[in-house]
Amino acid sequence: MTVLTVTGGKGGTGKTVVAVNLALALSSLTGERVLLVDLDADNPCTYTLLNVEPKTVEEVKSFKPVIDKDACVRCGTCVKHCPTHALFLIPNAGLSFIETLCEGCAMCMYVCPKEAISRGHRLTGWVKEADAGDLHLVLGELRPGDRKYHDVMEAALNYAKRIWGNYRIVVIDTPPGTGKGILMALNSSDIIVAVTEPTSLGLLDLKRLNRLVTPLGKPEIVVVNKYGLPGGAHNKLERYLQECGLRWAKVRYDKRLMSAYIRGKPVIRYDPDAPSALDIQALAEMLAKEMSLNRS
Amino acid sequence: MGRGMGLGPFPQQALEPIPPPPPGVLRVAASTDDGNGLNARISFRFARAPFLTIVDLKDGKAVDSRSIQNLLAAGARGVGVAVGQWLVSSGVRLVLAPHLGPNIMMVLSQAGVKVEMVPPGVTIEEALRRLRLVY
Amino acid sequence: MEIVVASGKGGTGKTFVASNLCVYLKRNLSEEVVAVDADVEAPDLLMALGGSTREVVREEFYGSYIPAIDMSICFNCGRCAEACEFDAIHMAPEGPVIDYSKCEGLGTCAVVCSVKAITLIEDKTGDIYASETPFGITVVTGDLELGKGNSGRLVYELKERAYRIASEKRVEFRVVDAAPGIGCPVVSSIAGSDLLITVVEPTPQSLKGSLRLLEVAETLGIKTVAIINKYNLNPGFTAEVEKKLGVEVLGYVPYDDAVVKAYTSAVPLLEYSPASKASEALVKCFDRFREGWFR
Repeated sequence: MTVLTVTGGKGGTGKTVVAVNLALALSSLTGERVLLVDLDADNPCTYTLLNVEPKTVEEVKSFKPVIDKDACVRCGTCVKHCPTHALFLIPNAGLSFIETLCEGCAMCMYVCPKEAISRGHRLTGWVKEADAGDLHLVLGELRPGDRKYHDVMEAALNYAKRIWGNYRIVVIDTPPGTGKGILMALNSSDIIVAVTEPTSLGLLDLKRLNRLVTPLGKPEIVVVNKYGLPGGAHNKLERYLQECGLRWAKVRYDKRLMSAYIRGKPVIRYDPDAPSALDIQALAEMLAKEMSLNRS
Repeated sequence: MGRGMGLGPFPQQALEPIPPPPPGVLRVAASTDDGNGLNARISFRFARAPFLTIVDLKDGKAVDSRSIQNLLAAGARGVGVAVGQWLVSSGVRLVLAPHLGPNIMMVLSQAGVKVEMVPPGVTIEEALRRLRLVY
Repeated sequence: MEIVVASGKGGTGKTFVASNLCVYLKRNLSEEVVAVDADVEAPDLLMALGGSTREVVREEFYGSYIPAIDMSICFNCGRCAEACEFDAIHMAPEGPVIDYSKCEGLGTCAVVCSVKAITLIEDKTGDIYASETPFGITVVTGDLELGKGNSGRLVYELKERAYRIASEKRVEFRVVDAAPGIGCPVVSSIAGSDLLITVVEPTPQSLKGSLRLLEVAETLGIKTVAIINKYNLNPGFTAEVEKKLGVEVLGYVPYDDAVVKAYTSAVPLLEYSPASKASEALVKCFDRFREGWFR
């Protein structure tokens, strides 16, 4: 089994478009069903491109205190210890809890001398699953208003790991960024596909991402999406790629890709002769060769 | 990866409440940009202002005032709640502020602490005069 | 006044709107503007505003904690591992082992340890910079340690620095360029701001992201307006976007090659190409904001 992680520091470079189309192309090439894991818990978009409605398979929960008002002696020990001040005590009214400030560390439960705080659950998000024909989709989705997106990413990744033994190819789509969640995905993968765009900002963020990726010593391929974008910083980007000795492939700037995207359709199926679809097809062929996967 | 000495068990910024005022005294608080007691200027922000200034009022006179360095301001999250808790525990019954965040409002309203909106930049004394609490 | 520019999805044009809003405010309403790049995992705003001409702040920020176990005191009781909600400690034969990639640094382990063998030590969250830029905007930028998780904490600190710089210089406006998404750093970016501008593209994916963002804004009680960017890429969808958002739309900005060219030259569009269609549309959006807010 090979795990490909599609990432890219900057938002909107086309990670999801590349991940979905690449997964579909790899499936067609190899005749295998591909597992696609969408870790962009803030705004998972793979399912809108695949036109499927995922179903919840797991609720992601974290600790929240349940206060037993009768047992509470209003000593204020929990209030003093809460690292984010999610608890406060009003002399005649008692103890109150502000859920939006709670980080779920359970400190209050452990420090309460009267065992007046017990374990409750707060819903952080969901792990969802969908059968999308040639692909099997697993995704994490954060409940809006909650901030613990790493928990949801981790839960989705762990769920995927429990089933990914059944697949020969796994494609992970990540959110933008270079933080903890991205590192978690990268650590689980065999090949890293970094999607960038030929703009100054795309280059800046690619450089930053590579400070995280390069030390991992895993095979990396850079995908320059929107290649040929009018006014783009192609020379600067290509010079950087060459200087670093990075392997790269282009996906051409293509209005036909955009028209597939806004219809919520993967270009590689909707308009397979579009320049961008041909480029992704070529990328898939190269990766399939690298993974030594042939149609069995 | 870490630095510095151990700070445990948890390096919370703590601020001990001050003893409540005697009966018949109204304790008023404001966040201020400086620590000049009655002459301290009211800060635009509340919970993260550098000083908390407390004034005790009786019969239209300020009988006591003090400015306390707001050690809670350095906290990461929930600073509004922490400051609100400190005010309530310190017996404050009236808060003067240009603007209050939602968390501190929740604490103060549950405790029945009154809030008067005052413009930033004026001294506490001036604000109290305008409210006819000092005359 | 603090204005935050965000969107539930990446690449819709947050940095584009934020950088040009700074230029607009400086031109029309304020001697100076302080900008905050709150996308600490991929900071771009400084470059979009022309890069640094003079760095005024550069420091390391230690805003998080990590536990350290004194193994000479520890007697392997395992309470810390049991109490950790994040499964960051497991008991090995030689004693507790901390997985720092899972640790949230909240200190429950230190509190439950019966022999006080665990202390919390400060951990580096990232770097903080503030720079002056060629167009007169001061930019406060953060740089999260790669692979770290405390971005929300760093964002709060950046907003705090910007506030201090702005009050020292008596600057009225602060503009915050948020990270994509709706998670921890975005909540930190929005919390306490006076106005949220959400930048939406006319695609179902971007609309979905913005709707999720609006839910967050509602829980935080922030007034929200929208700018529809690149509207001509899918003009048929803009009416639906406007209807579904249900907030005031400041205006529509067309896709324009000049935007990419402006970035390549590291000059904000309003300066680089004031006559371009995107510039004109953007100015209209900002005029509408100004009329609505300062009437």
